[in-house]
Amino acid sequence: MKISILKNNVFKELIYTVVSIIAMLIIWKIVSVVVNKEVLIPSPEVTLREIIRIVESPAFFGSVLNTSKRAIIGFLIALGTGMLFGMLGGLFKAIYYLLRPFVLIIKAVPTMAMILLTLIWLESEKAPILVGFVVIFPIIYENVVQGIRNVDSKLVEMMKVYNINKLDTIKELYIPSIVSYLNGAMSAAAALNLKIVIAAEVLSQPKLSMGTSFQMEKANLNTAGVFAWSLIAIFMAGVFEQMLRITKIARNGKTLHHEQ
Amino acid sequence: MRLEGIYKSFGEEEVLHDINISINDKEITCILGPSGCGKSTLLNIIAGIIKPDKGTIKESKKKVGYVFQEDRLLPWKTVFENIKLVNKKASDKSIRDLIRIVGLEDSQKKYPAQLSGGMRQRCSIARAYNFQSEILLMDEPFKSLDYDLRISMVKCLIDIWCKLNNSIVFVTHEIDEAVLLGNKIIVLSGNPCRVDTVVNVSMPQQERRIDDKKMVDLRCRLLKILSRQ
Repeated sequence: MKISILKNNVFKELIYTVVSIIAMLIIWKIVSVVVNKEVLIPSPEVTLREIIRIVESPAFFGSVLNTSKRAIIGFLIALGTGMLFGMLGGLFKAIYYLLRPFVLIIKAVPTMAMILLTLIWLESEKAPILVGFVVIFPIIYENVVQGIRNVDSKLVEMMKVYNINKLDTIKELYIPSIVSYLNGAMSAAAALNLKIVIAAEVLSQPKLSMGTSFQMEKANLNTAGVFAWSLIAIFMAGVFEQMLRITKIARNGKTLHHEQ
Repeated sequence: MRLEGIYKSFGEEEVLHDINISINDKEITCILGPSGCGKSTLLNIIAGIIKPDKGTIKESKKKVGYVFQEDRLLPWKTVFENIKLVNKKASDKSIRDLIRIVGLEDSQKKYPAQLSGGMRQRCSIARAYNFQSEILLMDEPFKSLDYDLRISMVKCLIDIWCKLNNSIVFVTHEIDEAVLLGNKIIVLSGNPCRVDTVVNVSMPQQERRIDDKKMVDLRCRLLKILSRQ
């Protein structure tokens, strides 16, 4: 019964998504016809031709791979450190207050300033990783702190009564409790991270990257090329989100199976 | 275990006043009193969760298991895993035996959300037993269940106790639970909480029936004590 309801929901979700994409394409086509200047708003078909050209170019996979690599490295570092410091900050007030000024500064510094500073400090290949990390670390950190603070105090008391040591309490109670907070944070952070890494690459101009390709298309006044790379970036963000969704489903698989 | 001259206040409000009680080995001691009289505070002092302002607990080093008002099971762990959690050294066989004793053999791979309230409490009882505690403290564990289920859970607890024969301190405000379970019933009065009466019941728990004359008399006696407070 539940399986059929689930399949029905997935089908509905797919239908709505397709309808939404078609509506966007129609609006895009109308705007491009009205503006009638390919350099301002290229039409969907011209953009599609550009996508094919870019995908067929020899530098495409290298660019996508390098940007993905930077995004994933930055994301994983932010995830690891965000979880570690988030847990420490959530469990120990002193650590939370010690970290608060750093997190506030990281959050408040304009992204562009951060990109420029990292370009001064690091080589162009590594700068985008640091920028991505700096932008998404506070998101992961704050969600983990929130998750730790919202752990059911009655369960904490139960663990204490049964003399369960701190390490096991973290492993068995705190980590599973923060998973739902982390899921939301990770989805938001993955897409944002990719955007930030590409923005940093636009300025740092590493050898092969999506950001450099954006900059090249812009320098050639090829707006359709910029649109094409944007669509490729959106597609990649979707792929990252789906990957996170798959890991989430795999984690919850047991529970879903038992709920049926 | 013996509690002598226990006093506890929260702020200016005195909750426990000169509590003197003893808990005998391998017996069920019921602590009966009106809601909010300080029964749970007393249990938390026995468990070592909170410290008394004054007084001593003799043989307080005994290993204590606790069954809370709520089941307090980890939602992401199965029945088996929840029971194993408190004593990882316990063999799988001994955990399966406990699961069988509490009547959850068909549900050991289920998650708490898939169990009824009574099943969840039986799981938390099994968890407390797996802790290998010398004294099992139970804080109104069947409070959230309806009357029929509560009585069947009391019978289930008697069966478990007969098989495992440990000391139990059972806190309740339900006279029927105290009458069916207690070797000793300690009646508390409220504001601040004091020991009003101690009643010893000699009839074995397995033979007790709620409509039995002796039990009806005991019930009336306890009701009188509680209603005069």
